[in-house]
Amino acid sequence: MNGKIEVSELEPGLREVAFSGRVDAQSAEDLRAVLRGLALSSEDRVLVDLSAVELLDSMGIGVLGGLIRRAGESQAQIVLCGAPGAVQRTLEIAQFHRVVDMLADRAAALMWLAAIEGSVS
Amino acid sequence: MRALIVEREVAAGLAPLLESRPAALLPVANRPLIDLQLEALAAVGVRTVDLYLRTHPERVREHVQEGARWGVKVRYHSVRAPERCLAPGLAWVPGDEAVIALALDLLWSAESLARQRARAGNGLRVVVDARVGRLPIYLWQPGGAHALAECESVEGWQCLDGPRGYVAANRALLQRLGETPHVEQSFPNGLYLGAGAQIADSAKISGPVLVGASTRVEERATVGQDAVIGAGCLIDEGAEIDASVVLPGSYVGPSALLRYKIVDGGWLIDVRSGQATFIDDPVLVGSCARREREALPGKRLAMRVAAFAGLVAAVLPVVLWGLGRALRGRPVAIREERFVSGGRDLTGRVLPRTLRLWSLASGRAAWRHLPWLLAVLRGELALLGVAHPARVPEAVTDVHMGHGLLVFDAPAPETRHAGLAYLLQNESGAALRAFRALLGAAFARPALERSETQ
Repeated sequence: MNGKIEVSELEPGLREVAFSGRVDAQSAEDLRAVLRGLALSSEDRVLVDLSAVELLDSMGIGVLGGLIRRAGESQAQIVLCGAPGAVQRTLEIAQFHRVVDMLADRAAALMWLAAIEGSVS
Repeated sequence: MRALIVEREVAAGLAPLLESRPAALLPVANRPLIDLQLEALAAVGVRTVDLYLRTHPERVREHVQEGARWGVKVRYHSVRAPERCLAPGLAWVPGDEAVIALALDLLWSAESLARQRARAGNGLRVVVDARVGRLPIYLWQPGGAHALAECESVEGWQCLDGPRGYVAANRALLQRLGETPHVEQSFPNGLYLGAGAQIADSAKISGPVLVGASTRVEERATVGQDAVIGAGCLIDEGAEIDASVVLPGSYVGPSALLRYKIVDGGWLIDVRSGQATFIDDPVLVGSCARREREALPGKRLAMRVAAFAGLVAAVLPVVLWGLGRALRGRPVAIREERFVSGGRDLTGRVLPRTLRLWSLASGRAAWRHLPWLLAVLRGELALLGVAHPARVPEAVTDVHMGHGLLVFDAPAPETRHAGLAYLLQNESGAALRAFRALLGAAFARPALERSETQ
């Protein structure tokens, strides 16, 4: 299945970006186009759900990296969650854990975002 | 019951120990920190553990895996500031499950954890110790008030907040080591040995001392109280270690004196001052791997010399025996004849095609030479070399003719000297080739070369 992105707003200021399918060279350009339409500000918190990702190749890493960089530039809080084993290993090899928080599942990520908000406020 | 283990930023004094390993795998009394934490949590009834890791999550995952060894289910989170989990009033605290949150670098015994849990009752409990202020351990019982509940001094924990704390934690675990099943062998003098550890007869041990698996303590070394030596270490002759921790794979040189020190490969940390020095030399302290690597060229040369000496020692008797046998018998000159065209030998006999092809194609001696060579080995004939019949000394008389092989057999013992003289004067090269053939025949690979065409 080709890679897809669904963007939804869970609550004001909290967006969920759910990746699914094969996030690879074939789908990278389409995914980038979707993400370009995502406006971020310092008030935003972004939860990136990777639980339905089947494959993440170097182009997919580039897509994710672009999203993380944009979130950093706009000072939005961003966390990744639910990466399956192989995807998680790919992200760790790419040293993503140094630039973004990665939680085991969606519930933990929501709590983590709440904790960040609590500790910031 | 759920638990959160949170990897805080490491104390500066311990940073050298974490250059090559994640904090979760830092050994305390030769066991990884995370093993000790999971064991204590499992003992108080925790069944799910969330690990919030900062460094090398992939290596921790590889070691812990799903947590089945401890009967818990482990979930992994890689976060950049895990200590946020330990800030009071976090959203994760209220829930439908009892929670213990604790820092990775705080070691609790299972008994202390159980006591804290029993005291928590309903509500959030933050354990505070007067010595270090608030300790990052939180216990939450569902339905309780979401507030800090109690402050008191507690016992039964060790904080790895620096070299002192690290050595103290090692010592505390060492004192309790007799109660745990993680030691291969224990002795009445307080010596605990890992699998394959070796202590030299003249080494002095005064326990409690823990020596890890495959470690060697050499002659006249002294290992004193509260020393913890990791796996795969080498404590060289005359070294003295006391109240110190030597991490796995470290080398302690001859006559080195370690008191209140931490050694990790090339790092030497003074526990009292907290000062860390990188030495890594093959004399005082260093890593065993580097020492072996550096010792390798010399060792390799020594091994080559030993191998060569062994080879010479093995071959020399055979050579001497062969020479003795070859020169003891009657002199014989062997000449390999290149076959004339048409595949006939000197007698005009048509040779088998295979033999002719073999002789012409390979240019080497064949099985047909073997009887003569065996006769030489039996001492009945002496091998002189490949000779041209016109140059065969007169003393060498009888001529045997075989399949293209001429053997000049001298019946009288005195002809031996004539044959030897002939050999030395005319056929030394040929004799060498013939001798090679002799050895070749002994190993079923004859190598007698042919002489020039007559």
